[in-house]
Amino acid sequence: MAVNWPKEPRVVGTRIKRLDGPFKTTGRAAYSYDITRPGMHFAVLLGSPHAHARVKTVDDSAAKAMPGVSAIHRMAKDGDELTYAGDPVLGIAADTEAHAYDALRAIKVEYEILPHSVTMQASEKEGAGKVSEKDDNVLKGKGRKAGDVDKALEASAAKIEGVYSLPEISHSCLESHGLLAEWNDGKLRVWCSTQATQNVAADLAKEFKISPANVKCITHHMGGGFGSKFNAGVEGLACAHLAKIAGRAVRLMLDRREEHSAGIRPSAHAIVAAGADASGKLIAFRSEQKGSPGLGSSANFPLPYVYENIPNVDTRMDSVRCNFHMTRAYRAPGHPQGCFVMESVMDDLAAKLQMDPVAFRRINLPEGQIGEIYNKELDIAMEMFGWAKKYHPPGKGPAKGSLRTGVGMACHKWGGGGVPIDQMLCEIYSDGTVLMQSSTQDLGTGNRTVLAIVAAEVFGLSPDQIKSEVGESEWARSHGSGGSTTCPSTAPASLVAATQARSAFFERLAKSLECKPEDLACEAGRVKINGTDKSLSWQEACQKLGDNKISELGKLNLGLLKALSDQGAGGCQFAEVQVDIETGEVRVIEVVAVQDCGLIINKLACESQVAGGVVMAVNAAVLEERFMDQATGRMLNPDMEFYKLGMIEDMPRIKVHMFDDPISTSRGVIGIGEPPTISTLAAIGNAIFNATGVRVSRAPFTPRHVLPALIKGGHA
Amino acid sequence: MSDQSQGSTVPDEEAEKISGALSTDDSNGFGRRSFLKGSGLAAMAAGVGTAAIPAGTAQAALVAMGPGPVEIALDVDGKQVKTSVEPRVTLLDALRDYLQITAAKRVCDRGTCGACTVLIDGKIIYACSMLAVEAVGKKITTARGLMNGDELHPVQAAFWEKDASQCGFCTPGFVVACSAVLAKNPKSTFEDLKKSVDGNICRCGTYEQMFQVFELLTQRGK
Amino acid sequence: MIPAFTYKNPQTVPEAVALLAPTWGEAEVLAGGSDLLAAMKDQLVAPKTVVNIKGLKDLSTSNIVGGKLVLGANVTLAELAELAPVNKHFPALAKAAKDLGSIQIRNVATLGGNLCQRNRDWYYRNQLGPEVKENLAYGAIFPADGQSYVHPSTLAPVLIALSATAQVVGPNGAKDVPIEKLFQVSDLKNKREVTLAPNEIITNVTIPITEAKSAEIQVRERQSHDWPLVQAAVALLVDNTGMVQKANIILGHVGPVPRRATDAEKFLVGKKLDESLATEAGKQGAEGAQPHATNEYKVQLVRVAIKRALLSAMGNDYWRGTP
Repeated sequence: MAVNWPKEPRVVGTRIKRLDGPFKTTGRAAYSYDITRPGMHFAVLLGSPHAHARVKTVDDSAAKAMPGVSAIHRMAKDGDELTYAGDPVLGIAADTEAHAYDALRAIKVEYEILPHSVTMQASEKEGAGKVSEKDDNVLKGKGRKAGDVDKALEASAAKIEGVYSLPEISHSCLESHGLLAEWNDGKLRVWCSTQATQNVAADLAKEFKISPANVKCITHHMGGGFGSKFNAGVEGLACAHLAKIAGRAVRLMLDRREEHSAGIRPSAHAIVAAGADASGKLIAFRSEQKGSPGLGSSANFPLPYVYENIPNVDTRMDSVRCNFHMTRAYRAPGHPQGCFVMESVMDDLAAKLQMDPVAFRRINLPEGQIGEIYNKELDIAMEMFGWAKKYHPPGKGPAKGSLRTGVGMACHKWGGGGVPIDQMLCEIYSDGTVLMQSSTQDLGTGNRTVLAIVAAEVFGLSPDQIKSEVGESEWARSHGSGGSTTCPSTAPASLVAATQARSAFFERLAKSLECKPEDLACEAGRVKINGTDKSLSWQEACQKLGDNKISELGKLNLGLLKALSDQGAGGCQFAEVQVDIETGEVRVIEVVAVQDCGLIINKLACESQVAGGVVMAVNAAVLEERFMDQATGRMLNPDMEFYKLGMIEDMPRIKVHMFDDPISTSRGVIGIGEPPTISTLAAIGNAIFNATGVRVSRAPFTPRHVLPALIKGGHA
Repeated sequence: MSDQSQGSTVPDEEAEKISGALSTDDSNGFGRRSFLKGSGLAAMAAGVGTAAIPAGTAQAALVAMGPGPVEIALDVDGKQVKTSVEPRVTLLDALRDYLQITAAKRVCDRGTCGACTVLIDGKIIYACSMLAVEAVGKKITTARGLMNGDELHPVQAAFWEKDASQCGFCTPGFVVACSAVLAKNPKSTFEDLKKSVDGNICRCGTYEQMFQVFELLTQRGK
Repeated sequence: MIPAFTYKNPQTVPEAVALLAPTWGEAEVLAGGSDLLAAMKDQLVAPKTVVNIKGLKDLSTSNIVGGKLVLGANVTLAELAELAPVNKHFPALAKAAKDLGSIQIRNVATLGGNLCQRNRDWYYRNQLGPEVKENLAYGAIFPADGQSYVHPSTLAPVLIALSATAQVVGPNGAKDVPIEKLFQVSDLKNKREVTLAPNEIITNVTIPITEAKSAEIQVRERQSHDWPLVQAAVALLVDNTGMVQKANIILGHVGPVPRRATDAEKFLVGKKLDESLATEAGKQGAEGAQPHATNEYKVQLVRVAIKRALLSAMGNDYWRGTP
């Protein structure tokens, strides 16, 4: 069946309030952390206090006899290697959480302490012990080589050399990782805080060697994932074991300290030399890059970035493994890091060339349609931001007391696009109910509402008339919500399912109305018979179904995806900051974000995604940093007190423009989760450079990093 | 859309859980008594030496409690609810794990993030940083209790309208904090409202939408 | 998770004192709870008894008595920030109270609790005791007795600048202790950050009302709900020609106890305060700093904070461009 997005949509692309708003704002939305099952026990984990150790012996005899204890599950056997502080040794379930912790305190573990490295410096040092038995500490990545960089640098009209770095940061999901597990007749049901219900069910089936048909994962609401919640995880598997041993439901959610070990964004460090010719064209780019993926295998970040058409390139990348938990995907993996380095280089070069930073970028943007989109976006952003008025050469801006104001910008890119495995159930019932149902989950992106919007479009109804059910692994097939691929999968799948259901509905109606199916149309809550003035209300039409509902499973395939979605989004962001040159305090005043995401399904939710992405990056720019202590192997700030996330007084006003030029919207749905969080940090860094004339080459831009740079630059 | 807490997108068991939690009536299909029985707390509740503290009892009457469980009655969202907790149990944990009242969330559990914000006698506090026994005799209000019947509180309606909620885990705390300032002064300014939520963290980053909420609320106040 | 304890609810100060033990660790005082509950959750303390002193009603009032403001120890920080005499006579104290924590904290945290809170040093809080501390990003630049934590109270420096006194009650009755003498360098074991005995409590704080001009400056990373990187509190007695007669300059978050910038204080006396003098006083206030490799930036912040506090007390907020 040929399915296409409507030429003149009625609902799609408008601003639709999310369906679950009344439940989230009142605390009625039930998250995994909120669910209690009859007789449920509470579980906690005992983690290693050492960054690298081997379990010698575990004595749990006292703990077993403690009040309320129902299960102890060993996660690391005697002799097993533990590779980060917090690496769990065992889990305990008890009738109350307090009892579980009491028992945990009674466990005695003997460790053989092994050498550890929790900083790149320590890990790559000659003679450093291996951070794990598997793999070397430093993993060489693939670089790229083209042309002759040395020669090109020599020939450059302007060249810069710089060192740029970003620390590791934590996802800090507000609802921590974990799940509630309940066994019944060999069947396992879990309520899990996940961004991939189907992965979690599959992981658990594998762990217990049971049929995937006997595992069900439920995620009706979840409190943030940002890439870190694609699997059951050690904590999830442990919880299911504890539930099995205890013979009752058990809930295990990580505490805040443990949550900081449940995934990191890799650090990034780059030594760059770059050059441009007198016309402003980039001709040389060299980077020596490294970053730490923890115990993961890759800290790669893309360079050169966005402006990639450079004839002479030489890049190298090392991933330096450390004894903290493995990298889990973090919203737009690698891109914010690559963008920060590249866009800092771009501004530094523009300054050398005494060119306007936007003009300099226009010269180096990719060619073709994407270049055209970037240029149009830049036009819009400059206008919204007032760039012409606000821009001044670096360090030459308005001064008030010790405050200096500056502006900066940066561009980013992302892939996105749909995944051809997704399916969607659409059912129509005789009472008028339209059900859209899928195993996909709503991370807070508004995915639940996407299903309803598309169905409403097809049936001539309003989204709140659609019943949208998401987040149970047994429902129609979906994939993990990551990489901005959810909406470009669920929206097309919804369109296919709803269109099929409408056809089936019209077939049935046509018989009882004695007309042809093709004469029927859905419009404004009614089913009309074209060529007559006859119409039925939606309810009347549905009544004709009797006891026999319409049930259609829409299935995506490559062809449908090609018609309904696309890959490759671009965007740009402009930031205004105020820097106190005596203290190094930075305030982000305003961010303008212009973002392409192809066809917009829900403008309200898209704007929220963009503004939210900006906020996440503002945090990374001005606050976030994991402090790792090499001597103890421990994180010094595994909390929310010194692992700082901004609150409202720290936040800029954010102006969002969804780029809805036909050049973009005609491409179909692309996805919006990652792109808006990429270029913000770079734009803020450039704004600080513009305000002060000083490049602060290391985030976060706190007095600790800004003040020394200012002093070195002759301020303060 | 139907009520997700009671309706079909939430399995029946969850609806039961919620109705059980909000009910003080043990005759309910899955009321507190059956919960206690299942969880092993019943033994504690029936244990020797537990002191009963009815709601409304002045703190003056309390001399020594614990370390074992004590029966307490709390006034939550306009309802009297009873449970049995050790003195070491925080108000947040008592609400969530003993009473299944889950609008207040546990996030940092150290008085930093605001997800557990509730009203105590009209003032906002972090429920993670108060003992449950300290809350006896006080009026506790969660985001759920701000509703007027089925109707959203104006702050809740504004958060919905401006989409100031993504994953939503922080939202009840923000809503409670914002509502407290408005209750004190219906003519609160934009700055007042901004300050009202300055002890709360939203990781999805809905702050711009909150700014729009405050604009909406202050326009309405005029 | 908090270890089990017995909860006690005394109604009078003598009852409360009697419930406390002569050695640390047996019993802990519960006032607002925001510090104690966290410390118990992190197993920093595991008392057998928790003594809730919120029932001591006479500790919740404040009065002006004989030219002095007497603030009950149970006055909450929210109340403190709003009290008319505090705003009128001690704007620096009102500001410090308003800038402290969040509304949720201020609604429960008390004046006495603020002074008795434990430090936030991350090695201490995480129970890590390496020989060499690698990262003191938020730590002391004036370490003392081998301790590199900073005293957390942001009210203490202001109260010291205002020459306030605490009334301390123990088994042997009441005594007055200048706030400045309330603090000592803790060994993070059996010697706490306060000079109180384990069975003493603060019942009130008295501040003499004078003509002194006061101001308080914090440099922070987060505008919301955060600890200062550096804090400076000043109280200045200035004659009608603008000459400084007496200066109290107290620094917070630079060492294990609030630090008096003695040299800077002396330097100012008899001089007319202007920007260059304030700058020089700032430099003197930072003299002798022994920063760690990870917190050298705080030395410059001390200079600036002193300069700003001095000028702000005189009504000059130059850094905002509004002298």
